[in-house]
Order: sequence, then structure tokens, then C-alpha cells
Amino acid sequence: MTRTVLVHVGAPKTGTSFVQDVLFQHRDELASRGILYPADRFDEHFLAALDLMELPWGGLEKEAVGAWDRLAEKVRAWDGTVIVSHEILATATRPQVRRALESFGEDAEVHVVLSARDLVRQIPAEWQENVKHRRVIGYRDFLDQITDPSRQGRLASWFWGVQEVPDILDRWGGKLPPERVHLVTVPKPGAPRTLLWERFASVLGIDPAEFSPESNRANPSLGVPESALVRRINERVNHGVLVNHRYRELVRELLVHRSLSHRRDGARLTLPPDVRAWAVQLSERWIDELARRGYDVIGSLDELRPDALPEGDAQAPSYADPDHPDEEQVRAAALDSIVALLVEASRLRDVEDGLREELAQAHRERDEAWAAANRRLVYRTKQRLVRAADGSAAGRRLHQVYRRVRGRSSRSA
Amino acid sequence: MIATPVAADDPRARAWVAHLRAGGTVPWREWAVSVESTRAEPASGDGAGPLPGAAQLEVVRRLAARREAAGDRDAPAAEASGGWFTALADTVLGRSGPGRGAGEIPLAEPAYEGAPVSGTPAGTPAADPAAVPDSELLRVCVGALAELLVTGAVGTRPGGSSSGAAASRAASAGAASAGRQPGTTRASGLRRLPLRRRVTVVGAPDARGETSVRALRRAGLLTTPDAETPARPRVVVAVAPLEHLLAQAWSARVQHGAAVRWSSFVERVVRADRPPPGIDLPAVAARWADQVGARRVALAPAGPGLTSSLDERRAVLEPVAVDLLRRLNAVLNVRVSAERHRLLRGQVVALLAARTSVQQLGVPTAHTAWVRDHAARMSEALAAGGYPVLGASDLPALLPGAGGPTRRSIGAAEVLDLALDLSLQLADGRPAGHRPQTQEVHGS
Repeated sequence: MTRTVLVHVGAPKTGTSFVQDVLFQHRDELASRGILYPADRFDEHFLAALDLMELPWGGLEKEAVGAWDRLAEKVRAWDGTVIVSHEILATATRPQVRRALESFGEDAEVHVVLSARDLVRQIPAEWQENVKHRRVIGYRDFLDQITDPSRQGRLASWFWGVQEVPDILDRWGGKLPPERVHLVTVPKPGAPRTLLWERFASVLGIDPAEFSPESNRANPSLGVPESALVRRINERVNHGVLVNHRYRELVRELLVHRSLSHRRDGARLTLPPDVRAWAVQLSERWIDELARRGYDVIGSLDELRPDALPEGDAQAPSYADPDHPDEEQVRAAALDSIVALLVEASRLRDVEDGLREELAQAHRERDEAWAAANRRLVYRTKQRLVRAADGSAAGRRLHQVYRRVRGRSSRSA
Repeated sequence: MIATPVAADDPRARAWVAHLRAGGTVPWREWAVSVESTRAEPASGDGAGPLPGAAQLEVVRRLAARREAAGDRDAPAAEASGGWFTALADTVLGRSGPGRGAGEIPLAEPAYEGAPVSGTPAGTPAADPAAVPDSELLRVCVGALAELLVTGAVGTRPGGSSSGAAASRAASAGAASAGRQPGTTRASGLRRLPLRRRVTVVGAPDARGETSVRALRRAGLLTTPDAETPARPRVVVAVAPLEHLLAQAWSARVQHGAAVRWSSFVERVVRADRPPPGIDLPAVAARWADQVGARRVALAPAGPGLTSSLDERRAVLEPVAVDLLRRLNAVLNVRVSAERHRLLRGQVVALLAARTSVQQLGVPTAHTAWVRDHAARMSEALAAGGYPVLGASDLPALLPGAGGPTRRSIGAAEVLDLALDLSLQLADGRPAGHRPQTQEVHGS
């Protein structure tokens, strides 16, 4: 049987979390059909990617020691199809890619999968990801950094590392025949919700109907006032005020994912006109280059072309700048955040009260058990003494004296 | 201007890689236009695969330059058949920099008249290795250093030895320079003293440990008992300017595995508006006073008189060394287990502690006002505690003297130089004393 390894390397914000969740939830059924998604915990491939690229990640990297080698061992041991998937793999350098591909074994038929979305949607999404990861950089500064051709600085390096589709596929698929490099394009807004899953499923060799997505693990986007609010929160909770794992729980998970991302009143984040024009030009160059390479495209390269702005349409939304947001909307988002935090604080108080009650009950039970054990011990000791006393005349007399004394004491009491 | 990447099979580039692997130091721009480059034949093993990145190539060139500057001028000839330097070079050339940073920076055509015109850029822009920022070179070098540490010595110089031996030699050299037998600390002597003569030193992290009444007296810190000075203090709070305390606390954290930057560390302290618990001297003194009585707690300046008699459990590292160590911590966190990290850290600290230049690190200028205010508050609180002061009648200063700190930041260039030296030392296996101290004291 051919050992096939499908490496899904990104890009972020293209439905990767959703796909990984479906694969993880159904890993046992998939394994029974010869497809391995080797993960005992949902973030196993993320940790492996951290290890491969020696990436610090707010302390999580300490859990990643040796994770890639462990993953590769599972890949090599499987006689069938294996799927490896994480979006930060997109930023791997050539030496890291070489190590990764070699670790799958010489006899493995490796396929590289990259999902991609048009730049005009990806750029705002990447800034939001930065904001959701504690960064405080303003939107314009972010845009200036990524549009600077020198790409100096960590932010620009990371952005292009995970978003420059031709370069990612060159790094990961440069030594593979083009038919083994699969580019999944994200459908345009308005397309059927299942279409992206059907595309992924087709390249992964999965029946999309059989493993219908029930995933709740989305990576939702924020509006302009919500993004501005989270950035301001970051300015106040960074530098030791909120440790990383609490930030993840309370800001990213509770506030962003469970509260602010559900708000729909504020403007959606888009690109300012100048950056939009630049992104459109760049997208055209990418489309030409990708077409020339002859990869297996699932979807259409046209979907990487940003939609044209409606000309002269008075109804078209104007650009809303998150660096200068509508303060009224930010205040409304802040109030919703306070409510979300109060509800959570109340829930935690209930949990705390419940735990206190459980603890008090446990103490009571312990005390009762201790008293009962003492009573049993005293009774058994008395029984032994009585039995021992009844065995001799002197003992019997002593016992009678004791009973008389006890009786008098009882009466006087 | 966008530079043009050099083709992977360019013979000039291949020959330059061979030149660097053999210990050469000619910069790319000179090499590419020289007659020598057109005549050079790639050595075996240098002609296949993609070209290494510009940052990696420049790190190897800088390693060779540092080696040459250290007096190893016969090095290139010795490398012709492959030696420890070539092995070190291959370690650098075969790896990416760890963590976030530029991807593989392609080698650029040198910018000379008639150079090829740039095509459409894709991927990380190409660069002349000499133009790669020091921060990027440092990232690459730290990755190579971590590799050397994790995998052990990359090579052994004839007559030399392994990196582990280099570390232990460095530790021995440091101990010997302090007038002690290697492996013997003052603490081991102190442990033999009767219990009643022991004095616990707390406060300034570099001074913490144990000393004795006799040692304090010898240092002139303890004179004849009088109304002001206790006969036998049980605890001495070592007092230093708050900026020094912060720098020492940062060093201590890094030596325990933290990867935090100096500026971030200070930022957190200022944001919390309180120093870390161990250097919150009024709180430290009050805690000990509760345990042993206020009359048994004394204050003393954390100067040589106090520290010379102390248990040296923690190395005193210069700021550049601390910064290098915290960068290494960030990589080792994801490379090895916590226990292995601790062992490797000890090895690195032993090597770094052999460097003895004294530099005082101050907080970034933006936070000097906070330090001044908080130092004043700490002084008042200590004075209010009424603790006796050893060696002087006045409370030791919590503000720095007129000279101020030597520096307020740590530049990538100087950390890079140290990282290069340490890489050579680990790969070569020679003790630190063989290489001159090229680090300079930079002004603030």
C-alpha cells in the first residue's frame, strides 16, 4: 500500500481551524477507513510545528519539546494516508521544510495542500489576529510595515511567511511535481457554506457527506469598534497585568470569540483605498504566477482576485478606520464586554460557592467518620476489657465495682 | 532598490561558500567582483542544493573574522581538509534562525555597475550579507549556539577537547581568578562554622547567600558593639541602588531560565508599581524582623566588603551576557526538557561568568523618574524601620551615584560579538582565556 502524506500548511484565516476540528473529532472513523489524523490532543500538530520551527509561543513551546519527531514517528508507522495540518507551517523555511519532508520517510508520497483566500480579505484578518495575540500595533502602522518592500521586522516577515501563496508553495512544494501541490481556494462570500468543506474533503480523500461538519471551532472575525477595543485592552493588560494563559481564556476566548465576534452593528474591517489598490495589483501577479506553475487547483484562481468595488454606488460602505473608530460604538462594545465579564464572574462565583459547599460537606463527612471511628474504637476496647474481666473472679469484681461507680456518677449527673 | 537573488548554481557564490567554510573572511561584494572568484572551483560538497541564506553566510564570515582577530591566523590553511571550523560553519549554514524573524534571506547580486536588473520579487528580499541587520545575524547565531549545546561539541581541535570540558575549564578559571581552588566555594567553608556565627544575606540578588560575623568584622562592616550596632546580626539586608537591584533581579531570572527582555522586565515592574518581592527591601527587612527581631536585622551596602565573603551560588554576569543567555533560553525552552535546559544553562553561565568586565545596567530613560520616586519611597520605609546600618552611619543609597549607570540598553551588535565568541569557544573546545576580550564598555 502506498504511504501518502498530505501536509496542509495553511494559510491562516482560510478555514484551517474548522478543518482540523472536523479531522480531530472524526479521527477514529477516519482511521478505520485507512486515513490517519495523528493527534491525541487537538493542538498536537500546532505543538509539532512550534518544535519544527523553534518558535516561542507565550510559554506553550515548553510543551512542544520533541513534538515533531513524535508526530513524524506516527506518520512513518501508518500504512495508508496520513494528514498533517497546521497553518503556521506556512512560514517554515527551506531547511525546516527539508527536515519535515525527510522525517516522513523516503517511501512516503508527499502532497502539499495550501488553502488560500484573496489578499483584500486576508490582510485585515491578519491584523485582527495580531490584535487577538496581545499586539498593540495600530492598523495603519501594520499596513505600512507589510507594504514596505524591504519586509524588515518580525511582523512583516511573519505576515509574508504565512500569506505569500507563491512563495509558500515554492518552499513546500518546490521539489514536488505540480500535481502533488494542491491549492484550495476559499469561495467568495455568498457561496454555499458547505462548499469549502467539500473542497477540502475532495483533496483529503474524504466523503464530505459522511463527515459532515459539526465543528464549533471557528476563528471568527471582529468589527472595527471591537478590534479597536481589544487593542486598547491589550495596552492595559500587557506587561505582566494578565499572564498569557489567562489572556487566552478571558480576552481571546471569552471576550473575542464568545462575545465581541457576535456583534454585528459596527463596520466591518476592510482595506483603505490605497492599500486595496496595491493588494489588487499584487493578487494579479500571484494569479499569473500560480497559473504558470500548473498546480492542482481545487476551486478557481479567480477566487484569489479581490472583488471590484461597486463604482459610484452610494450604498457602498465607506472605509472605517480602526485607528480612529466611532467612539460611541467602542463604548457599546466595551459595555457588552463588561456584561460578558460580569456573567462569567458570576458563573465562577457560583462554581466557587459550589466548591466551598462541597468542601464543607467533605469536612463534615470527615468529622462524622472520625467521630464514628472513635466511637467504634471505644466500644470495641470496652468489649475487650469486659471479656477480659469476666474471665477471672477478680476481674468480675472489678467490673461490678466499675458499674456501681458509673451508675452513681450517672445518677449524680 | 530591490536586489536580485543569485542563482543557486552561480559558480562565484559556490566558490564563496567554499571560501567561507574554509575559514575565509572576504566579504561577498569584494569576492563577487574579484578575479579570484571567477577562477575558483567549488570544493566537493559545496556545489549541490540551494545556496545558504545571506544571514547564515555572514555569520560564518564573522566567525572567521573573530577567530582571525583572536590570533588564529593559520586557521584557513588548517581547514582545507575540513576541521572543527568547517563543522561549525556547516552547523550555521544548515539551519534557519529560531523563532520569528526574516525567512531565508537569499544572497543578492552585489550592487555594482552593470549588475543584473531586479525581477519581480517573491519571498524574502535578497540582500548583500554585509547589509543583513545585526539582530538577524544574532538570531541565526543563537540558533547555532543552541544546536551546539544540544548536540554537544561539533568538532574537536587536535589537542583540544569537547565543549563540556571547555565549560568546566572556564568555571575553574573563574574560581581560580577569585583566589580559590576550583570546585570549592566559600560556602563550603562556612558550612563548617558553628551555627551561631552564620549570617544570612538577603536583598541585592548578587549578594544573597551566607556570611559570618567574623567575615563582616574583617570587612570592617562590624565594629565594637555599641548602642547603634548589633553584636551579632542574624540577617543582613544588602542594599544597592534600585536600578542595580532591578538589573540583578533580571539577571537572576534569566539565570533561572526566563527569556524576558530587559526593557520588558522593567516595563512590567513599573506597570505593577512595585519591584519584585526579593528586592522590595523594606518588605524583605520587615519579614525578617518578624522572624528574628528588628535588632537582629541590619542593613549594609552591597559592596565588595559584603560580597567577597559570600556564597557564590549565582554568577555575576555582565548585561550583554545576560541578554545572550535570555535569547538562548527562548530557544532551549522548545528544544529540550526543563531538566536538560537547567544543565545546559549551567554550562553556558560557567562560560559567560569567565568574562569579568563590569558594566552597570540602568533602566531605560523613560522609567528613570519611576526609579527615582520609588527609590525615595524605599529609603523612607527602610529608615522608618529603624534597622541598624553596618559599616556606616547613613542608610546606603538607593539611588545611583553621580556617574549613573554605564548603559541603559543592550545593542544587538555587542551581543552578536559575544555569541560569535561563545560559538567558537564551544566548537573549538578551547578555554575562554585563549580568546581576547573584545567587548567594549559602551556609554549610555
